Amino acid sequence: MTGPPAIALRDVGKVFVRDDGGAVAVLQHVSFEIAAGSLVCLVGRSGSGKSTILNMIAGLIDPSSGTIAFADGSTKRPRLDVGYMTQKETLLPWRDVLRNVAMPLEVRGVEPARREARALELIRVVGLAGAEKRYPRELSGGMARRASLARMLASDPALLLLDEPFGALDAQLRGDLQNELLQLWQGSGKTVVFVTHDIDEALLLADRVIALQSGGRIAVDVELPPARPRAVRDVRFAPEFIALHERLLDALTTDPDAGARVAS
Amino acid sequence: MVNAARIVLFVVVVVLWQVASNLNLFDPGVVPSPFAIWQHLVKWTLDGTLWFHSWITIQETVAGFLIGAIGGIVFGFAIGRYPALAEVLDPFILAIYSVPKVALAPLFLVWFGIGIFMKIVLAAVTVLFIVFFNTLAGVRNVDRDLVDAVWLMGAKPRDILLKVLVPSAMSWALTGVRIAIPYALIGAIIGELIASNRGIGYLISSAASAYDTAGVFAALIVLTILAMLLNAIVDEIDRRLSKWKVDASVSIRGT
Repeated sequence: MTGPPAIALRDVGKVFVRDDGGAVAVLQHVSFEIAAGSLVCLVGRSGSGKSTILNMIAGLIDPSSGTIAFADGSTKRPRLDVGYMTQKETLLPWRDVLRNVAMPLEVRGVEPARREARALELIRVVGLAGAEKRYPRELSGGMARRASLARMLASDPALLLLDEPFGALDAQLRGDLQNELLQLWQGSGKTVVFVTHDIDEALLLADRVIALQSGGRIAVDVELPPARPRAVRDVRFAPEFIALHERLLDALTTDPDAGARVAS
Repeated sequence: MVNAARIVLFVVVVVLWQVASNLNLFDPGVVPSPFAIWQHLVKWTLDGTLWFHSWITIQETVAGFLIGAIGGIVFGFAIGRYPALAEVLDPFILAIYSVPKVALAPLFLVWFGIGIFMKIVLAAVTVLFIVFFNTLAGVRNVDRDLVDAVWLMGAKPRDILLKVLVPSAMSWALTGVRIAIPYALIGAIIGELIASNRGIGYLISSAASAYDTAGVFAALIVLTILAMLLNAIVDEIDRRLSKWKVDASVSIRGT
C-alpha cells in the first residue's frame, strides 16, 4: 500500500472505571496500522477489547493512553467522514426508511431534494426499493440491516466501522449481507474495520485479519490471499484457509486470560 | 353481532328498569324511572340548558388540558435536560404530586374565585403532573445508542436535541397526554362540584340539592357521553402514535 495509513494506533491503552471504583485495563499497549482502502477484520472473544478499539477509532470514547492518528496525521475524530454500524439496530423508530437513510445528509445540511435522491438511490442499491415509507418496526431483521447499510453509506464516508453488524442474523441472511457489503466496498476505495467473533466471517471478508487476545494483545496479524470473490466453500475447505482458521482459532482459544466463553 | 348483543342488553335493562319503576318497586326520589330521566334530557336539550352547561365544562376541560399538557411537556424537557436540577427538585415535585388534587380545590377557590378559571387551573394541575412525569421519563430514557449513532453522523448538539431527544421523549410525553385527557374532565367536574354556578358538575350538584334525582341521572348521562367522546379522541391519538410506536396500542384505561 502506498501513502500514509488510514488509521494508526500507537501504544493505545484503555482503562475503565468500574462502579465500585476499581479500574479495569481493557487494552494495553495496542499498536497497529490500517492501510487506506483495505478491509481489516478484528477478531476476538468477548472481553478482548475489539469493540473498545472500534469505539475509540470512531471517537465515541477516548483512549486512556497512546494516540490514534488518521490519514491526515491528525488525532482528531474523523466523525464527519465515518460510517458506523453496530449489531444493535439504531435506525430512528419515528422515521421511515427514506428519512432514516437521508439522516446523515440532513445533519450535514444537504438540501432536501438532493438528499432524497441520494437516499432513494441507496435504498435501491441495498434492495429495499418499495420499502421507503416503512417504519423500522415494520421491517424484518434483514431489511433493517439493509436500511442501516444504506444509511451508513449515505454520506459516502471514507472509513466504515462495523461492529458485528450481521451477528443477529441467520446464516443465510448473513451470507447475503456479507456479499452485499463486499460488493459495495470493492472498488470504492473505502477503508473498512470490521469487528467480529466469527472466524469464518473474517476469512470470508477480510484483506487482513487481526486476532486479539484479552487486553488487546495481538496474537495473529495476517494478510489473506488477495483473490476475490471468495466462496464460502473455499473459506471452509481450501487448505490455506483451513490452516489460517486453525491459527486464528488457536489464538483465540489458547488465550491464558480469557473468560470462560469460547467463540467459534 | 357483538354490537347487536350490546343493544339488546341495553334495551332489556332499560325496559326492566322502566317496568320496575311503573310497578313502584323503586322510590322515584331515590331511583327515577328511565322515562323521567329522558324527559329531563329532552327538556334540557330544548331549553338550551344542556348545551350551555356542557359547553362550559368542555371549555374548562380543553383549556385545562392544553395548559397542563403544554406546561408538562415544557417543564419535563426543561428539567430533564439538566439531570442535576432534576435530582434536586425530585422530592419537592413528588411531594406536590402526592397531594390529592381534589384537596387543592378549596384553595383554588380562594385564590381564583368561583368562576371558570378556577376549574381550568384544577384541570391543568392534574394534567400537568401526569404529562410532566412521562416527559421527564422520556428524556431520561432516550436510547444512548441512537444519540451516539446520530452524533457519529456529524450532528450538532441542536440536531441531537431536535432530531433525537425530542422525538424520542415525545412518544413518552404523548403517552402521558393520552392518559391525562380523562383527568382534565375529572379536574373540571370536581371544580364544578366544589363551587360553581354553571357546568355539568353544577348541574349534578344543583339537581341533587333539590332532591331531583332524575336531574342528577340526566346530568350523569351527559357527563358519560362527554367522557366517551374524550375516549374516542384518545383512541384516535393511539392510532396515530402506534404507526411507529409498538407499545402505544397497549391500552391504559380504567380512568
